[in-house]
Amino acid sequence: MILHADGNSFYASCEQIYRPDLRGKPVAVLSNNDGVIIALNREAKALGIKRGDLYFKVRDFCICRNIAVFSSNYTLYADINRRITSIYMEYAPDIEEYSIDESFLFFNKCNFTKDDWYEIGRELKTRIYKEVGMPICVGAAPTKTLAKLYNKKAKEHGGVFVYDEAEIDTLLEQTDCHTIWRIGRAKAQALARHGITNALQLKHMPLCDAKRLLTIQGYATVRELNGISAINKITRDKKDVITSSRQFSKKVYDMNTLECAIVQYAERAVEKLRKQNSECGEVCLHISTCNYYSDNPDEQYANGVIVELPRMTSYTPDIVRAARAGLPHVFRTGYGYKSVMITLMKIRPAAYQGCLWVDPMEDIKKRKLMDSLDDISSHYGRSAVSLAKGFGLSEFEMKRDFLSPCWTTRYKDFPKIH
Amino acid sequence: MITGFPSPAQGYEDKSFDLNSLCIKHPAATVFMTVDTDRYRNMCIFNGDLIIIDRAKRITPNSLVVYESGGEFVIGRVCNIKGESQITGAITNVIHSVKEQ
Repeated sequence: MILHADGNSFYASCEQIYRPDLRGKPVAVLSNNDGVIIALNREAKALGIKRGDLYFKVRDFCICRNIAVFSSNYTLYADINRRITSIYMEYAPDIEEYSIDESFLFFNKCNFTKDDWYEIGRELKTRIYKEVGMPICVGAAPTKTLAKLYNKKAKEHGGVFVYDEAEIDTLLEQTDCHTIWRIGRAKAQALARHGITNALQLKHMPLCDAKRLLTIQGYATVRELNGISAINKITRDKKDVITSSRQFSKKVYDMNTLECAIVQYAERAVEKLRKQNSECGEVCLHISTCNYYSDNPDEQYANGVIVELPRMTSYTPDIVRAARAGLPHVFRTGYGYKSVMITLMKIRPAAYQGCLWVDPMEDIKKRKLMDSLDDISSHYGRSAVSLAKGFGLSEFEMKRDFLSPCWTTRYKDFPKIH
Repeated sequence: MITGFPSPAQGYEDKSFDLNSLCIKHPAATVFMTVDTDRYRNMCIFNGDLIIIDRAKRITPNSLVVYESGGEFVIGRVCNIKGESQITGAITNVIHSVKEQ
């Protein structure tokens, strides 16, 4: 059996836990740089604003309807997630954290009855609400796809909903294809052209057709709807692509500031690379003017370049140099840039590979320098030591005008008792 | 080359005492709050004190808890709470810093 549990309006609920004055009030959370609305609670949805709305367009509406607006506070969300996960761990040793607000709990070879699963689900729900303050929903079914579906339907069933072999077909018949996990609108449209509109028809679709029409992914989905586990647990021990990117609070017109940003984000990406004990062979640099404030397409420009490194490395200065070298190839004057993204690719586990033309002592020196750098960072915090070029970016720091306190993790931010 | 006598304390060392082991039974459910009022002097809880709250601890009518009242967090015994209130959790410890007069 697989349980799928997720927080109800997770970001908005996190913001409410330590704000007793916001019980039952509408709450909205903004994306990085306060650009668009990314999360809403039920009360805010009822007022008519939607996910993806541009904040500057709905700002006045939020003020006059008393919607509490927050910048995203990932420090807080990560701590709440950590607490919830450690409670899940008491129930299931095998967990997949699918995203910050949803997890799959795997119970292998458990011969529990339907009532037992209801009891486990309700206990999880009660405990997490009481001990962490987060309302959750739980769906239980033999496969991940079905567990997600049952979770989605759980809201109408008191927050916990368990698979029943006798009812499954009726339930699927009432479900539109596009609400099934990993079947999006586009795939649902393709299915509709073949007369398949509800999930029951999808379940009974011949597997060869599913493969042809929906690729191997859809093939797995159809099998999962038939109760056969086909989508494995995703383990993210090591990433094969590492990205580090930010949006600026205002437009950047000069190459020098962009270079500062590139140095800073490349440094951060390499830090992640060394943390997972890997090396990379390529750096991709992407700059773009993408922003929500300008509707003029003539002012938009985006371009990327891939720089190949002479050899596999995790040495910060080498990778930073490569990223900087890419900038002149993509930079065009006259545009106001809003974001920079650094991606490390061709990632392999670190293994010493000597090179005929390089003195091995050089490599040892580099390795030692990086080791001490990581050592200092782990003691004195990230960016205790960093490349000088990365400074001078502070005025372009991300805009977070409505950031809430880190209620659970910082002494100065702890909630006050009155 | 190592010379001299080995320490007679070798093998008897202990880890330094960890306050968390005494104050925190359920780490996932434990939160901290600070007191911003002198209202609770009679309970020996003073302005500036750090309150440790265990949201997982079982609550009895006599428990000292933090609960919500009028959109704020306040302290009280469960049996004295008037009306419907959401209880955040039981107070397990109060940490009071001694200040120089």
